[in-house]
Amino acid sequence: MRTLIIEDQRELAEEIKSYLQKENFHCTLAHSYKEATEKLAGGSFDFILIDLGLPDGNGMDLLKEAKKTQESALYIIITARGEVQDKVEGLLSGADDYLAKPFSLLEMKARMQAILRRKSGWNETAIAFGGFTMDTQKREVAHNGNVIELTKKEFDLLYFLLIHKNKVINRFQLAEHIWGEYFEDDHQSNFIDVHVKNVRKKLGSFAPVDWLETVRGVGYRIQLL
Amino acid sequence: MILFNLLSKGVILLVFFSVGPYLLKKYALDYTDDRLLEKRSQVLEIIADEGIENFFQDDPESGYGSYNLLKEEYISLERIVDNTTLDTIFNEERIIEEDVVSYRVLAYTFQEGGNTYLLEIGRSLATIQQIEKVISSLIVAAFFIFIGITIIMDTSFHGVILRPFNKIIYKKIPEIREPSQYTYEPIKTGTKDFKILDEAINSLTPISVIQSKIENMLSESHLSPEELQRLMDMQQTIQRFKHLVNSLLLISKISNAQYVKNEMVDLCQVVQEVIETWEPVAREKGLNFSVEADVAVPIANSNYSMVLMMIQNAVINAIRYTTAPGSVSLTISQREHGAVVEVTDTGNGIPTTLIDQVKRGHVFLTDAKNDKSGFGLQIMHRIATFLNVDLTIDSTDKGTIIRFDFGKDSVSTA
Repeated sequence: MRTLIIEDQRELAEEIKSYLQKENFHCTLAHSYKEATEKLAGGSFDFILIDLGLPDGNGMDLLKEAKKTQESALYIIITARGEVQDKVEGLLSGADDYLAKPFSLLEMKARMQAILRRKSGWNETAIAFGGFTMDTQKREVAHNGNVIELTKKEFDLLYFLLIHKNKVINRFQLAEHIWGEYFEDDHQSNFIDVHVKNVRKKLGSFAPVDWLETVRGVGYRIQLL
Repeated sequence: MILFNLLSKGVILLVFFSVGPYLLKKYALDYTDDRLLEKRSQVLEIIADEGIENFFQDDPESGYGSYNLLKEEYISLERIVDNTTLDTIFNEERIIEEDVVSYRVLAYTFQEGGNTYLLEIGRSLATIQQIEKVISSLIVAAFFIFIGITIIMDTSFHGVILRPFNKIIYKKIPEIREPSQYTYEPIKTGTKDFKILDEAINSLTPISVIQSKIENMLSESHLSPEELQRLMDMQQTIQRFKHLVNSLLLISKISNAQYVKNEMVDLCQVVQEVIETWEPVAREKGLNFSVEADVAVPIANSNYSMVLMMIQNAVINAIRYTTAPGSVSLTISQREHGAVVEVTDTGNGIPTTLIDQVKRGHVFLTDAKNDKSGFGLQIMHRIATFLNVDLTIDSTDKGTIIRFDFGKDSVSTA
């Protein structure tokens, strides 16, 4: 998946690139409006991440310009400002989602996958795991046709772990994705544990859930082939 | 306004340096000419008193001449044969003891005893230029001191004069898209608020860089348990910092009314979402968690996320400071004057000093040891103010009741 990362902060751009490359994205970097215009003219991209605060121009203008030539690309705008009107203007200008700095790379990947699922006609909504199936459209988890009643948060938590299966997801990343960034960290760890415990309990009454591992002192991992 | 002042001072400097030298030269010449005329009067007075013969004692034909040691000035008096009349001042070179010196010369003819005499009084142009130079240095120095003082005065003066406008521009006007959105309530703030906001925004990108680096390192599969633990410690530190910055930004945005409040919010739905997250946590802690919220209570002109955060903060606070086997309850009641949400706990209570600071709008609370960052209460209080919700906190050492009164006007009748 060809991805253009337009971010003037070089270190951040490199980190995003490094992360996405591990996820098999093919990344190109642009650090300014001018450089981005050149890269946009030079090839087509599937995903375009645009930082709004570029040194030589407004990212919002770049988004509008890019939409003219890269109509089928998927766009995520990134900004440190986090203002409501930026978000609204960005979405009205054709962005598919919006990430406010500082964001987690896992959160970014989850958003990218959600956009792909929503925009690219990806009709595969069922995910099979450990004898269970998750229907992302209906937001249901079932075992042999028996629907397991999960709360909204429990479903989101399980889905996030599944998106990043075989990777350790720490409590901070889980909490940030599911509950936002305004909780105190000591309680994040506590309430995440409580909710994971409930997920285990609910699913465990149907089949073993040893694939949902606790990584001591860190977080959780869904270990599946 | 500062720019205008700088520009106007620039224009003054330009005019000064283009016209100044000409004016200075003219002034120096006028001054010298006046001095020459003064000396002419003095010489004529001496001639009238002592008689012209005194100047021609040695040789009546050769005339009189006198100059000082450095040849800066000279006076000459000679008898001339024709009756030419002269009364003028001009620049001309003179040869004195084989030296050619440029002078400003006053030439004047007069009649005395039936003869015509020519009186010349000269002052060297080098002397005049020296005077010009001294005056010029003094004026330039005085001028720059004047400019410097006025810039300092202007800047401080404008700082004081424009302070109210700065408040309006940065605190009230941003985010206002329609006149109806403008709030006419007076604002009370200090420059500290603005510094906090700027610093918070500036730190978001560096935090993002560090967070991304840590996440990339964490995704490496070959980490030893020690390395993993160190990275987790770093992650925790950056999360705390991130939480601090986000909370400051949130407080600032709420205070600046940067959120919309045009949604219809069902309080019952909000409470259900709070229960979903926090009831299991309370029960895990051994607390009795009870809820009374059955009927839909729609609130007009509100903001779902803000109401959720406000009530949730009260519940988090209650669970945090209540120990087992205590209890936490959450109730919604529709009353004649509106709707009330109450969060009640049997915990140790919130110190009055903290509640007072929150009500006074302090950002950083002193003695907030019990509250991890000290922001939960402020966020709750500021959201309540923003949404026109009447917030009361009754707290004793036996427990706390946090009451959100949504008022009659906000409860939708639709």
